[in-house]
Amino acid sequence: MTRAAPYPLLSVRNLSKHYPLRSWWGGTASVFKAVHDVSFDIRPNETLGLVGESGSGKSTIGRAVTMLNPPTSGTVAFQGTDLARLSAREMRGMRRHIQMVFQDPYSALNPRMNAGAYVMEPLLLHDTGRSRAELRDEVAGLFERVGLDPRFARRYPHQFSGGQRQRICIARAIALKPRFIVADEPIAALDVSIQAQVVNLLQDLQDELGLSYLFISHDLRMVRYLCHRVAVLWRGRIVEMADSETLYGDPRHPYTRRLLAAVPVPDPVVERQRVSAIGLTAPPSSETGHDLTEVAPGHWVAQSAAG
Amino acid sequence: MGVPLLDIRDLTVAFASDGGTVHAVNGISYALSEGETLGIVGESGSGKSVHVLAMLGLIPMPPGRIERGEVLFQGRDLLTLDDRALRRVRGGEIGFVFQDPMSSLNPAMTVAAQIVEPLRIHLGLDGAAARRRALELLDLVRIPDAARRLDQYPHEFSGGQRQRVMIAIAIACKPKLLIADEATTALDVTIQAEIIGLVRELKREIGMAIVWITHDLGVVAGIADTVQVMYAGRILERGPVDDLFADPRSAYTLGLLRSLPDLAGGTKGRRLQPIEGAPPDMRDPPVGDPFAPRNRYATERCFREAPPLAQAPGAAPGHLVAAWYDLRGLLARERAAP
Ligand SMILES: Nc1ncnc2c1ncn2[C@@H]1O[C@H](COP(=O)(O)OP(=O)(O)OP(=O)(O)O)[C@@H](O)[C@H]1O
Ligand SMILES: Nc1ncnc2c1ncn2[C@@H]1O[C@H](COP(=O)(O)OP(=O)(O)OP(=O)(O)O)[C@@H](O)[C@H]1O
Ligand code: SF4
Ligand SMILES: [Mg+2]
Ligand SMILES: [Mg+2]
Repeated sequence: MTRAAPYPLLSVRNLSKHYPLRSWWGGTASVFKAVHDVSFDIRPNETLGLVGESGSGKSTIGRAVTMLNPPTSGTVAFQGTDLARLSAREMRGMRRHIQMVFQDPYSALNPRMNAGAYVMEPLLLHDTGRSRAELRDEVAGLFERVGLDPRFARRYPHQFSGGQRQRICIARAIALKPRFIVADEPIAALDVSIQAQVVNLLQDLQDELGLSYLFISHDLRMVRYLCHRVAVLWRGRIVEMADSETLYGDPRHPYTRRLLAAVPVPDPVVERQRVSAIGLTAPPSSETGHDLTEVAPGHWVAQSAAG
Repeated sequence: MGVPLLDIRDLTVAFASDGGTVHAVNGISYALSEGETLGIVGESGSGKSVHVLAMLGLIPMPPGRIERGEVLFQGRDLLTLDDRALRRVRGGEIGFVFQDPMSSLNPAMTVAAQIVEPLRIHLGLDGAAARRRALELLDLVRIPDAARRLDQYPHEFSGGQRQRVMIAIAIACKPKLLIADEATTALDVTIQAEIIGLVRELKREIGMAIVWITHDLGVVAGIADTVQVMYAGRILERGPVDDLFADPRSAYTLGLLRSLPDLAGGTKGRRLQPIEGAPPDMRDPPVGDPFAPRNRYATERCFREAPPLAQAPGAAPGHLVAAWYDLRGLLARERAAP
């Protein structure tokens, strides 16, 4: 694995996101605070894992840092540029460097566009001046890289299996050789052999292009394997963040521990014992502190749990 | 065991497409008893979703076509039922969770309306009772603040919350058979464990049988009685869960088990080992064993003739494999060789 460079590519500070709540008469009665005051950096060449409870705000953070659904407050700086200050045109130019693979591939795909055209679209928008034939070759190469038969290019989204759709989205995201990709559950729909193939591909691209990932996943096994650092999100806040060896070797926050204890083991005898041993434990109380404390260099834990 | 709850015989499904016919499911047969949990794993694109959609009458026809087969559920062939009869079975005696929650939830209806509907149709509950039950169900699948969330729309839910809504709808009528297709992929492992615990409880309480399709070999290890491995529209291996994990007999199953990174960090920094090669083009499936071109243990016969699914020699009873080669012998020889 390449060494991560020391300065940030992406710098997120005090990011919060609120969603309006409708009242019974249809107006906006109040807001739902999905993400509170989240800060982190991602360096060039680095993969940051974002793990945590379902509904804790991971996808919300992913959409906020790519400005697809901008934050309510806080800043997102990419290579030192505050993305919120860019004009619409400047942001479009920036898009080629910042890509996203969505959690739900079916709703991300355009049902009326065949898979080849969908992967080619960003190339047409940003890589003008190349011939159609060149672009078609490029798309065929992208299909091969994600393990899809290039002849599938003429098929429409509904003609693919779940995992095939996800790979079309990955091919599109890497088409422009971006510097940064938010990958929201990019491998959950794939069989484990193709997972291994896609993760090898993500690492190869990182080595070749020096790109960075925000890797959102429930697969804690793969997160440990792939990510340099990991942030654990719980109820809209980061409760622990450390390099992955430290986080897996010395988890401090009760939620992190609970999460690691719940990873299923691919051995039926061990797994049945594990399940009956942990049972259905109660979730940790919401009374843990919010401020992150650095308990060891680079290892941050939400306060009252640190002691 | 008596008459199985579900008995699939020679199910064969194809799709017309401009490049030729896609042979998505190629003559699969298996049976499931009451209270049994079958875990299905396999290649992406191997027909796991299509075969369950076909048996529920949910593939678009055309381009889809059921070429052969029977799907006997409690003795009745689902493939011969008309739409009305099928609708009574779906969501009533058979609950299902689809792989893609956004395409199965209606974006224009509140979550409450979607949970209440099957309760009224299948259980005949009135409005207020159905709503109370809907609230209980959302609590049961661990949606926080369920009372407020009932009147929200699907896009206001996170990926995992939508999956939990689907699970709530699927179990609402206490089905005899639950079909869950990648039902927990968007859930964190703690909520996943709670949902699996809930499903197990239902299994104990009402003897529900389960078909659980997943890529997560750890989940299969914990939930399944029987495991079935699919590849290119066929079943390559099937057997009791302990025996299949301890003593895999198909080279494809072995390849899957070897693709996993290790939670203890032992694989860190090493390249992962996916199975070499690519799956076959299902418009022109090979005559022999579909996995043969990627299998270094394949014999000449594997390329000529597709092996039948048959008892694996020396394995537990009911541990079946489709292979002309003897994986156990080959592995033993490899280990013995210096
Ligand atoms: N458009 C929206 N309107 C209202 N609430 C929303 C909206 N989108 C998300 N939420 C809520 O914000 C919270 C965070 O959602 P988000 O999708 O970011 O979670 P997540 O961590 O990605 O979860 P999962 O692992 O289940 O995908 C959830 O409680 C969700 O219900
Ligand atoms: N409408 C369609 N037209 C043509 N081919 C189709 C259609 N629907 C599905 N297929 C093909 O049928 C095959 C089986 O698809 P299926 O969705 O059952 O795969 P799966 O095993 O569920 O995979 P995954 O694990 O990726 O969800 C795939 O090759 C898919 O491309
Ligand atoms: S916007 Fe909401 S309702 Fe529409 S497809 Fe996306 S998630 Fe579904
Ligand atoms: Mg999400
Ligand atoms: Mg599927």
